[in-house]
Amino acid sequence: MQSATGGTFPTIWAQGGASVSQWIAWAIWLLVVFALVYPGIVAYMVWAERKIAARFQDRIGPNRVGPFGLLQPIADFLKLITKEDIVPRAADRVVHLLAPVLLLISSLLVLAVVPMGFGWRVHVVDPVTGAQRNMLTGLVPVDLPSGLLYLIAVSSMSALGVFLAGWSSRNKYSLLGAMRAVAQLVSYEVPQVLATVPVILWAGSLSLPRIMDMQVEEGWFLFSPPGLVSFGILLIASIAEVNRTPFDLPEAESEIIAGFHTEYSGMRFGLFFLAEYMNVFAVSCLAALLFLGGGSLPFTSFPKGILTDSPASFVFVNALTVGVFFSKVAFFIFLMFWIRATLPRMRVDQLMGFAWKSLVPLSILNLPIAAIWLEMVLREPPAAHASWMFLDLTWLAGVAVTGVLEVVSIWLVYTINRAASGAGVVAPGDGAAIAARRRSLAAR
Amino acid sequence: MSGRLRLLVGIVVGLGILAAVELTLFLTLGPLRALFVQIAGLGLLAAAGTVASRNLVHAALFLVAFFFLVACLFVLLEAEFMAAMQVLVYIGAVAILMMFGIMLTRNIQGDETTAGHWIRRLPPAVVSLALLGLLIYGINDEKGHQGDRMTPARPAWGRTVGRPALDPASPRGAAVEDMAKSLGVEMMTRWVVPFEVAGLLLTAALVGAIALAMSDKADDTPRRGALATLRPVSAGPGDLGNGDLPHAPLQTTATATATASEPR
Repeated sequence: MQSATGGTFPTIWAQGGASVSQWIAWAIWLLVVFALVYPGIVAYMVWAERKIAARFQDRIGPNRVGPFGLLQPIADFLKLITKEDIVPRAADRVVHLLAPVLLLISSLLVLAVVPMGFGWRVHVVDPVTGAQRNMLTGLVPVDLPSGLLYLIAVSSMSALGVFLAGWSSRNKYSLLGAMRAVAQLVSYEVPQVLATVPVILWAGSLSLPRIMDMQVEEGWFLFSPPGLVSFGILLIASIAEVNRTPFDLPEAESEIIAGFHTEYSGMRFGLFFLAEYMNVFAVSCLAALLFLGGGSLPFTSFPKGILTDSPASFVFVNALTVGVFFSKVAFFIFLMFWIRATLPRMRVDQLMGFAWKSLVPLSILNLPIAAIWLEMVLREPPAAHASWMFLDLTWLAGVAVTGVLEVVSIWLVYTINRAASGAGVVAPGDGAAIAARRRSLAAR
Repeated sequence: MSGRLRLLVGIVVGLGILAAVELTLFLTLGPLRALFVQIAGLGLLAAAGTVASRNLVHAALFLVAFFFLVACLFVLLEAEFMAAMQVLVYIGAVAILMMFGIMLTRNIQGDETTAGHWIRRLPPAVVSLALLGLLIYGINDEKGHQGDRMTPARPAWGRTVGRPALDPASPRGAAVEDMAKSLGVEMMTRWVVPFEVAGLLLTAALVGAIALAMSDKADDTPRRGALATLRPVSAGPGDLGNGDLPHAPLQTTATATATASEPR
């Protein structure tokens, strides 16, 4: 409770141990949430994906095991765990067994700093400036002062797990899949990280509960032109980071069988599956937290006002905010299923070109625009904004200026890309040009 | 069945020994030092594994474990920003780069290490032993800080047991509370020139890398899509042996390999 700003894990260690209630809270997080709730969410995400994909394809989906096929994940789990665990003879045994574990650890560590609800309200006095304010601690296992950086760091470890899986299998398809996967993960990490920078700038902190609290006070970061663009970039890059359609080249079944996990069977394959869907869940949490204000409602700071020190208000507010948060996350997950059911797979050159030529320049151009937004709108609290009748004029002026700049920057990136790709190069898949070339060769 | 039983007994005995060692360490050294001893010990083992393993990927993996344990040491020093940076830069970037390096060489499984004559290993051994001696001497004989206008006096690190109490309002206390912020402010004020110079250097390296990677053959038709596999109609498999491949109008490298890999 008192661990508001700096009550972090290492500090508690150095100052002679945490309180008993803190230990109990950590034990609950570890044994209940991380060991049961998140894997359960993943299991029913798989079920939901099968149902939703079936509806998109005019089918019914799993409906044999239990009502509406609800017991299907359990049946699948039992099947996976009783299957034989095969390791190829030529494979590097230890690394082969280590790789899925590394991937799963990376996706679980990401969730350790994500606040699910509002948590407690604390009164904080800034030690340097002496400013006082009410802050939310966030319903979170650990509140690191540099939580967002930690999150990026541990999620970047997943590329290593994918590489090791492909390398250790001693299979050409696995190796090809691993190379594709690592190239893709490294490329899309850049726009993903750059898209979070405006949020850090606006919140003035890397701590995720602090970012959530800022949005309860100031409104969601999504409601601004630079926020909207960042959000779009983050969403696209996140879909690529979790290897989902249209970015699922590393595990393209029709080209390289299943990519890096071709040689895995039984529960070891199940671990890959678990890690992959856990990553989907984690990036949905991140998007909801950074741009949709975590568990907060739009246009109001409502549940924060009734949060007091009493347990009843704590339970009520956190039940409400956790529900709101999970509905946002569920929407993002549904969005990914929708995209998967709609779009075909990209080509490798399109994939790399899109990351390096469109997303990265756009997210870099977005940074100064985000700074303009900060200076124009966010420097002063909403109460100090100029207003006329019910219109917040400061906000409108900010939207006008940054909106024009965003449109110009998107147009610029698009035009330069068109000009660069059009100069002296036959466009890929340009049937007429290929036919002309073929005719000229035949005539020679 | 007896094999499985033996495995079970082995696991139980192993866990028992581990628990006894942990308990002894915790009771004799206290929790913080016991953690430090274990992390440092595992880090030394990982470093030794990096040097000793014959397979390149295994060596890189041991190095990753070592980086991770160094990040754990940063956490023990209450510098979780540095820990996150360590993981981000060294595991997320440097280790991946090494893996890419291994992937792009011919020795893709990483197990053909070049074991030369022992004389060739002598200079690196001398250099690393000298460095080790220097570090041991430097750390062991550190005198501490005498104190000046900016910082108060403190004893040598070798004789420091606990963390000095920090006032949360002081700059040091603020740095422990939110290291990212203090670091950012320092980089943009006091260290802004080195920061910008480092940025310039990295940009130069980036431009240099692009210049090296780009081919200078501007008149070469870029190979894209269906054109990459398109062959001149007259060119049969027999052309391969003639040695006049570069003169063929559209026979780029991809065409040549495509022809070569075709079953005859």
